[in-house]
Amino acid sequence: MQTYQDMISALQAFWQAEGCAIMQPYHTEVGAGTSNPATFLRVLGPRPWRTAYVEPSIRPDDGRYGENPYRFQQFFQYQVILKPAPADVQDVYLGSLQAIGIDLAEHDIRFVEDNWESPTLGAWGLGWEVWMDGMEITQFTYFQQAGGIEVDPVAVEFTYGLERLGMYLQGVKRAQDMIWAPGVTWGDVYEENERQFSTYNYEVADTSMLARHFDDHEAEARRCLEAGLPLAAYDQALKCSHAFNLLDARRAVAVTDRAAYILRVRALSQAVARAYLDQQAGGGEGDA
Amino acid sequence: MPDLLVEIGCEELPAWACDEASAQLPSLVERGISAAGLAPDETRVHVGPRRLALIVLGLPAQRPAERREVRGPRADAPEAARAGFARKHGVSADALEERDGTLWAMLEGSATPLESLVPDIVRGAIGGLQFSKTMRWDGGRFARPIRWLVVKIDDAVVPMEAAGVTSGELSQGHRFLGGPVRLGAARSYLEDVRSARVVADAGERRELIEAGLDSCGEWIDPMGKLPEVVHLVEWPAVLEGRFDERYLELPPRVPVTAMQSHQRYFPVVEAGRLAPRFLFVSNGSTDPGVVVAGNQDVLMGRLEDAAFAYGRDLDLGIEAMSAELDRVSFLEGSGSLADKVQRVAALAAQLAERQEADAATRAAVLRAAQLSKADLVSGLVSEFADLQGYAGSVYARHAGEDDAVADAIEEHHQPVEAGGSLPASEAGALLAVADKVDTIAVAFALGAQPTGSRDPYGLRRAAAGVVAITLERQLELGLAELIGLAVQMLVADGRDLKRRPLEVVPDAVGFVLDRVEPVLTGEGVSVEEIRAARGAGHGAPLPLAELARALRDERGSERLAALRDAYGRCVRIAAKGESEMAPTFDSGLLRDPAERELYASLQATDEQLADCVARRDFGCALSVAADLVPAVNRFFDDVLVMDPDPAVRGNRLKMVHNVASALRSVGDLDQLPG
Repeated sequence: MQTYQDMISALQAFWQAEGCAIMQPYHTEVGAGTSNPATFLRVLGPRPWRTAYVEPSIRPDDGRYGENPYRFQQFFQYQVILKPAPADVQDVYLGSLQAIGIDLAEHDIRFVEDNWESPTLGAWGLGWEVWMDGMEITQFTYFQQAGGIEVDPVAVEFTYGLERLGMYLQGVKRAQDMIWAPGVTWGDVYEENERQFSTYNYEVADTSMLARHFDDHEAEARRCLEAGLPLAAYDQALKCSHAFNLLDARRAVAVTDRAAYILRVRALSQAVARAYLDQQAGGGEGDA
Repeated sequence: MPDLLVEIGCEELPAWACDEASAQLPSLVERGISAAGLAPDETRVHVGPRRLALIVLGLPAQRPAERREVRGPRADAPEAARAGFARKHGVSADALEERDGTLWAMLEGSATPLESLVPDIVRGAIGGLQFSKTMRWDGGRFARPIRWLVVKIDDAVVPMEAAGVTSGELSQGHRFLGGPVRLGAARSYLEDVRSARVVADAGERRELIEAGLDSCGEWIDPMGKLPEVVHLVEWPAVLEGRFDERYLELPPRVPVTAMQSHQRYFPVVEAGRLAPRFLFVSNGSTDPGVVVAGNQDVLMGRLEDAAFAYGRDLDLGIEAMSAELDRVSFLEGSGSLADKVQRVAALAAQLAERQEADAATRAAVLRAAQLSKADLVSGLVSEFADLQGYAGSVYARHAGEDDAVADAIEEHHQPVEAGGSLPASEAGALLAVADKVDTIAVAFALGAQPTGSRDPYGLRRAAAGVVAITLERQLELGLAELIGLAVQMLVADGRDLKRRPLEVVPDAVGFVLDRVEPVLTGEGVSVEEIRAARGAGHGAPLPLAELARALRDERGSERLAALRDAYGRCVRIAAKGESEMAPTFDSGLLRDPAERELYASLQATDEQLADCVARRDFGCALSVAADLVPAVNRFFDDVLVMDPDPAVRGNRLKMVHNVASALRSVGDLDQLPG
């Protein structure tokens, strides 16, 4: 039996062999691996970049108190960036499925159109959702824009949904039943986590504190930008984003304010992206 | 005669891109070929997710030499200029011909071999495709990246480059069952790729799929997924899965939507009822059992989600859902869905009153309006957006609402697409119109009206829906009043309008009336007749349509020609004398018998005209208007409008203007061809 951690190790080994720098999850809450600066910022500018990493995806509004078999306020994505995208990029990706024990001819694997957009990151791309026997296992995207800036050369992003993939490979119907490591299930590790965080996200989180935090982090991001520190500013923007997600889960965002919150985060992301790129162009060309 | 084979190998193209390519490629190829001066026997195009193939049979081996004459310098030009011209075109100076003092070079030209003409044809086809959405990659811009290119004339590769790839004869077969395959000549193309497990022709794939589905029983495709499925596979194999019968206890459209939306499965019907089976089209596999098991798991998950959401929704109830609407935003800047519901209810009430709907219908419309958007916060609709309306009707019935209310909730989204079915009940029709008019009014007021091809709120479809319903049901629509009411309510809610209400209302009315035109064109009304009818200024689809039809029926008659001429004279004279026109008409200034007669006829006609128009009897209106013509003609024959006395002149101009206005109620007839 391939455990959940075996599957992750196999992906790490595969992408390491493909020349990816194996990053670690980011220390600040993100809704998707795309928001990790190893993707969002590194896809900008002309320098080549290959990375792969596990990212916990924190989505307060998806919590179900651990009672739903496949919806959680925290799950794991496996994120890969190849920039520039090689000509045999689909074959390379398919190789990673073989690396976790999938027989490509035996299954029905398909690339079905799906286009991706992130309003808070000012990012979009075209690509597919990869289907295996009718199940979506990976989001495969050619980044066209990030932070409102054209991505050139075009980078490709793969985002694997690790829970779905693991459940399928282990033949279990609930993520909670997946074997994480010998003698340890996914549920042993995260079931209680889901219950507590769902309760916190939906019932306990202090909304006036969160609203204040949003404003504070936004102001701090602006100060960092003025001080020429886009990386520090980006962390502040991510904190804004998470505060907004919590406020939203608490149903504390009035309809009329919602779009304005999203715009505020996007404005920060775009300012960070521009500042980051300016610094790259100014100081770092020599070691590219 | 040589044959040409071109295969453009792509990463998986979306189905819509396959459709666009299949619509555009034949004419792109033909244009390229004729621009190259060639004429083939036959051109074929085969389209699928990983390859666009062009086959041109019976091409000439070369473009024949063409004699050309090139104009040179004047005959008396300096020697050096004459020699230079001759040298440039590779002829001797003696061979230049002189005509009317100018030298000409006579060039015999040389034949151009087919292989040097082909690259431009191929590049023209690739570059000429206009996809509605494209992406960049390092090779260029296309619907998805191009990864290989086969270009062959008979057995020989035509070397060339396009979109960052170099031509060859190596193609890719089925991604997992085929592998690389060397292509032969054009005539064996379909068989060559078939040997690598690819059915390249979309028509053939469709036939295979339909035959496979038919062999499994009676299948249905209410959401129209088959055309897309044809472009999701290269080696179709129809497989069958099962699901637990208990999901058949859900309202029938729920499992159907779980199967069809996203997954593109085909439900099976037995004895008129849904069976616990589904059909789907796989792209081939060495172990169909594994594929079936996987798809069954996916469907079970979706059905389980649906059943869970349905149960939760029933527990919550439609009233509680309704109460949540103040937390859901509608069009940005217009407030919440709760605000929209209030506007739609007000519009529906006004509409019902205007229709003089009976008390039961009015009550049903108002109740349905209140509940119409509740299902947008239901679990079921958040899982399956296609169930909006239907879910609401199910929950309304469950809460004990009347069938009329439930039906109106379900019908108010109709027509879902152009030519789609229209609300069957009067309450549903009124609610559908109120909802769509509100969306249009709000979008226009907030500056979110469609621009060019961008129509993010689907306003053209909404307007076409309003037109289709009003014409079918002969609805009396105070369109400007309805739009005005919606805008007024936005203002009362303190919304920040991006445009002034006085601009919004006529713009939005005009936008809806624009959608009447395709309907009328389909009924044989000419563009000029539509324009003339629009000029009458009737601000709703029904009178506009009926006037346009009356003008069509009257086309070519002498009566209409006379009416048009009389109207045209009035319009031109009134326009010319506009600056001198009296502000009000004074019958005391009339002197001539012919002008008194016109005045008397106008008074009599005005009322009759208004009456015919009110009844929308434009045949009657046209004949009443035509009755005025002799008096108009006599007036112009006997009376000089431009009288030396400015008071008399101004007054006559005013009367002519009034006649033109009266006649315009049967159309701005100047728009009709003479």
